[in-house]
Amino acid sequence: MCKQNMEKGIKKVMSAVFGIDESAIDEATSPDIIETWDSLRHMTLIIALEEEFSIQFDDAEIAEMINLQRIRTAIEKKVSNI
Amino acid sequence: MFDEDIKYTDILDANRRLGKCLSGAQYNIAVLSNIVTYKFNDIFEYFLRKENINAHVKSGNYDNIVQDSQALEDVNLVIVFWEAANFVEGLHYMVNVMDQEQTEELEGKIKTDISFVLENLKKVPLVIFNRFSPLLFNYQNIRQNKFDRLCENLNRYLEAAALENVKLVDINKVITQVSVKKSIDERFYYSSKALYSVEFYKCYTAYIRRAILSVHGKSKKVFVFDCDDTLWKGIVAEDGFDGIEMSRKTKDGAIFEEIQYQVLKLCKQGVILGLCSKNNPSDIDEVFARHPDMVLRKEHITIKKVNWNDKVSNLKEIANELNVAFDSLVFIDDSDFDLNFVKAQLPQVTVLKVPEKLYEYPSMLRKCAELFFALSESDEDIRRTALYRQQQEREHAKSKYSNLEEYLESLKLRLIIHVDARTIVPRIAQMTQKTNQFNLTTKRYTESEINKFVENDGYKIFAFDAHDKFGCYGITGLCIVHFENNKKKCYIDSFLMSCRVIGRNLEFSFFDFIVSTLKAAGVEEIEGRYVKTIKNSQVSDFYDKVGFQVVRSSEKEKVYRLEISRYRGKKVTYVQTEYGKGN
Repeated sequence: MCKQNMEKGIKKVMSAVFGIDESAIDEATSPDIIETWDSLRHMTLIIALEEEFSIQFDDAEIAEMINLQRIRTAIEKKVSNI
Repeated sequence: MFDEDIKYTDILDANRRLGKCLSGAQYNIAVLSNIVTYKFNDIFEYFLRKENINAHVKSGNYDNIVQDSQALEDVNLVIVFWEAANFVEGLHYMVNVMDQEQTEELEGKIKTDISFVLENLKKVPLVIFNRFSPLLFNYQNIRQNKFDRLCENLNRYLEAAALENVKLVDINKVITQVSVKKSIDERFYYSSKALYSVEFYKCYTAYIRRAILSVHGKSKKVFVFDCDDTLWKGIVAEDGFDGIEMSRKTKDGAIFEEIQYQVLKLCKQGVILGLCSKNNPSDIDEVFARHPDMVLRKEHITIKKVNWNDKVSNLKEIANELNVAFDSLVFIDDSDFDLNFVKAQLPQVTVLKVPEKLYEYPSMLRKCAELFFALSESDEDIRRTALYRQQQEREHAKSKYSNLEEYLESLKLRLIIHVDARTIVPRIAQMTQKTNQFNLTTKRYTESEINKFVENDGYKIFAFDAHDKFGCYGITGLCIVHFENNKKKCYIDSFLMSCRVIGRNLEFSFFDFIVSTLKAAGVEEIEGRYVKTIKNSQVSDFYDKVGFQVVRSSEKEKVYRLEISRYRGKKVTYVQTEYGKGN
C-alpha cells in the first residue's frame, strides 16, 4: 500500500465515523476539536480502521491514537510494504 | 438480498446519507441493554433505511433496562439486550461460587425485574427480546454449570411471562453463524462492556430484519418455480414422465424430495405458489396429477404459467392476475438465460438460481424461506391474502365434488350487475387494457374513453361483480354495447372476463342478462364479432355457443348476428344475477 492510499483510507474512515468532511481533517484533528469524538466514537474509529486496513490494535495503541499523526504512525507500524 | 460484506465504515457513511434523504413516518426503535451496544444502532438503522424504512435507533442508558422501560414514549419497537453475564458485574464467573441461597435470591430478583420490564413494555407494538445465553462464556464446558442453569431457568420464566407483543430471539443461532470467537470483542468487553463485534451485529440484524420488514408489509408473498431441474431432476419433455427424479430412490432425487417438502411447508404457511415453465402444459399437469413421487400437487399451485412465452411476460401476468407488486415475487430457475432476462427486465423481482452444486440447494432454500417470514397476520395482511385463500378454498372444495356442475352449484355464485356505473370506470378501463384470454375483440380503452361511453346514449356498459360463498372476486366481467341510431340494432363492441372467474359459466348468465335487458329496451338484432389474437382462442366459439349465426368469417375475425326473439340462452341455474345498488 502506498502512503497516499493509506492517508485516503484514514480520512475516509474518520469522515464516516465523525460525520465530518474529509477536507476538514488535518493534523490538528483531535477529540478537542471534533465534538463527536467521544469515548464510544473512539471505539468505532478503531474498529473501522482495523477493518479498513485488516489489522488489530492492542489496548495501549488504542489509547494513543488521538490525532491524525498518531493514527498514521500506529497504522504504519502494522501495515507492511508501505 | 442482504449484503453482509459491506464494511463498517461504508455502513456509517451510507447510513448518514440515507438518514438525510428518507422522509415518511419515523420508525422509532429503542435499544435497552445492560451492555454497551452502540455499534448496533448504525448497523440496524442502515439495513432498515436501505429498505425505505425511516428507522431511528436510540440506546437507553447503560444498564438501566428497568428504569428505561418505564420512560419510553412514541416507540415502535424495543430491542432488549439483557446480557446474563452482566446482570451483576462478573456474574458468569461469580455465580459458580455462590451458595444455593444466594443463587436463588439472585434468580428471584432477576425474575421480578423481567416481569416488571415486560409489564412496562406491554403497550409497545413489538418487543424483540434476546433469550439469555451462557454460550459465549461456557461453550467449552462438558458439564453444565450454575451459569448455564441460571440462564435455562430464566429462559423458561421468560417464555411463560412474554406477552403477545414480545418475540424471543435465540441469539445462539446468531453466535453459531458468526462463531464464538468472532462474535465477541474481548478487548472492548473488558475495557468498556461492549461485548459484541460488528460482525455479530450484522448477522443479528440479518436474522431479525425479516420480522421488522414483515411489520412493514415487505414480506415476499409469491414463490414462482420453474419446473425442470428446479422442482425435479431432469427435463420432462426429454427424459419423459418416468425419467424425472424427485424421490429418495436416487441420489439427486433425494435432494428434490427435500426441496418439495420445504416448498409444501411454505405453501401451508400461506405463501402463494406459482409455476413459470417453458413446457407443454399437458406434460406438467400429468406430472402434478399422476407422478407417484410428487409431493407438490395441483392443489398447492395457485397460479400456473406453463407455455412457450418468455418468463418476463409470464411473471408479469402472474403479478397482474394475483394483483401483487413485482417486489412480492420470488422466482427460482436453473437457467442463467431466463434469470438474467428477468433480472434485467424486472429488477424488483427477487431471483434465485438453483445452485450448480445440487447438495447446496436445500440449505439455500431454507435460507430463502425467511424471505416469506410473516411475524403475525395483521388485519391488512388478512385482507390482502383473503383473495388467494379463497382461491385455495375453492380448489379444495372442487376436489370434493364428483363433477364440475355439482361443484359450481355448491359455490352459490352471484353476479351483481352494474350498468353505466361511473364509480368503476378506472377498473373498467383497466380490464380492457389487461384482459387477454377471455376477450372477444381485445379493444383497449383509456378511462376518458370509457367515460365518454358512459355519457353517450349510444353506448351501454355492463359490468359484473362476482361473488361466491367464499368471497368476492371484484369487478371481473365487462360488456360494451353500441346502439344504432334507431336502437333496433346493436353491436357488441367488447365482451370480456378476467381470468380469475373463468370456468364458472358466468359468461352465459351475464350474457342472458344483457340480452334480456336489450330485449326489454326494444332491440331486435345483435351483432357480435370474434377478433382473433394469439391469446384468445378459448373464446373463438363463444357466439356459436350462445346461438348466434355466422355472417362472415375470415382468418382474422368472425362476424355473428342474432335475432333477439330467437335467443334461448344457456339458463345456467346455479348463477344468480341481480342489479347492483345505484343502477
